[in-house]
Amino acid sequence: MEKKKRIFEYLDARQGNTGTDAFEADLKNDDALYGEFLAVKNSLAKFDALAEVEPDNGYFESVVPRFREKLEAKRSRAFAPLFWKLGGAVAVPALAVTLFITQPWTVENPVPVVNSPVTETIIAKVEPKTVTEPTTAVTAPVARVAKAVPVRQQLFIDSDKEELLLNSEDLTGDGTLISSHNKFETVYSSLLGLDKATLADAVDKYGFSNEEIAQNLSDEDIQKLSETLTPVSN
Amino acid sequence: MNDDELVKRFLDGEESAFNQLARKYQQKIYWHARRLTGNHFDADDILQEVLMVMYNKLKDYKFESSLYTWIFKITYTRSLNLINKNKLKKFFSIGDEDTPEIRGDDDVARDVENREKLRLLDKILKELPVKQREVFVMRHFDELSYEEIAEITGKSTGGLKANYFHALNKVTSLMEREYGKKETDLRILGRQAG
Repeated sequence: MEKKKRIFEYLDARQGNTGTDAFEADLKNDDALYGEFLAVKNSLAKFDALAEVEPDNGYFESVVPRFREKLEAKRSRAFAPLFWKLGGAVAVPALAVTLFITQPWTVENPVPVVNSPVTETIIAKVEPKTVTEPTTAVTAPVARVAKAVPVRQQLFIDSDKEELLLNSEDLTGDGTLISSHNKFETVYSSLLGLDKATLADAVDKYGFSNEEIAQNLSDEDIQKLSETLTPVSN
Repeated sequence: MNDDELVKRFLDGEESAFNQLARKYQQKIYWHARRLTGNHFDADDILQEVLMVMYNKLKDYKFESSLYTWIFKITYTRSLNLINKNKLKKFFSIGDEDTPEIRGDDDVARDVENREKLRLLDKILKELPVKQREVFVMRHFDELSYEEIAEITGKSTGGLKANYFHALNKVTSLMEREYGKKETDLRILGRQAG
């Protein structure tokens, strides 16, 4: 491992002039070091060859035009609400003034409804009927099967979701979780570290399963949560 | 024309100056994002996002640091956020096969041979933990100094060097696993015989 460390430091130009000279002298005299050096150089050369990819130039030529299209779409979206707001602000008072002036719901000389003599005679002959509810069922009630359309129900409020995820570290109870370079990694690792028993406790505590959590997290939820945990600072 | 002049011209209202900046940096942004996220679709999303951020925030750009460090910082944070987002999605959607990591198309590669090279490169990089991957990509491919990487990531140079060492070690081991050591052994024998 010490040999590899020296090789990596040499390749990374970390040793300074003296260290470099010493390493190169050792390379000439030490076959094991030389062998290791060749192996590393060979592996890295092969790795670098993988990165020499000939790209499809059509893709890179399309980047700026696509960006311009998105920018234009974004601008028109930003303009549309303004248009509707301004349009609405003018149109509603104009409609109100028009209605106030014309007042189409007022009738100045209402004409009384007069039935013809024939109609009056028919009305007089009709006997009033009393409607009663039937005492027995005419037919057996038809059983119906109602199929509920699956609807994404809000099982818990957003603050609960975030609280669960942010505090889930407490549920693991073991110190083996990999501490990471930011808050997200810690929370994420703790979520992954949940054993079955702890998960069952969480299910009992909150009354829902992991799948239900997943179903209730929209793309926006995930994005929001992800940004909460690792805020973008640019 | 250098970056600062292009930025000034863009800020003065010359849209074509932004196009020049975008064309200049698009490949660097794409490949940085591609090597961090490991797939074309995410890299393409990030590239478009970064251009949008550049377009909207260049007015806030201070000419104190270099433009490419500023662009790398945006690309790095966006890539890291997307990796985290994908991890969350993957964790919460057990059985969901339509995750970006599973989609295998590599639209940027010209042909099958290049696509295969990219597939292997993505595979090896994905085996590195994110902390190692990010420093490895910036140091090995983007050829940034440790000071620049520290400025971008907000980490100490000592920690970065340690992670780079571990990354190099893992990459060489993985490459040996992929290709074997036969060729190297033959070369050593050749030197000893000579």
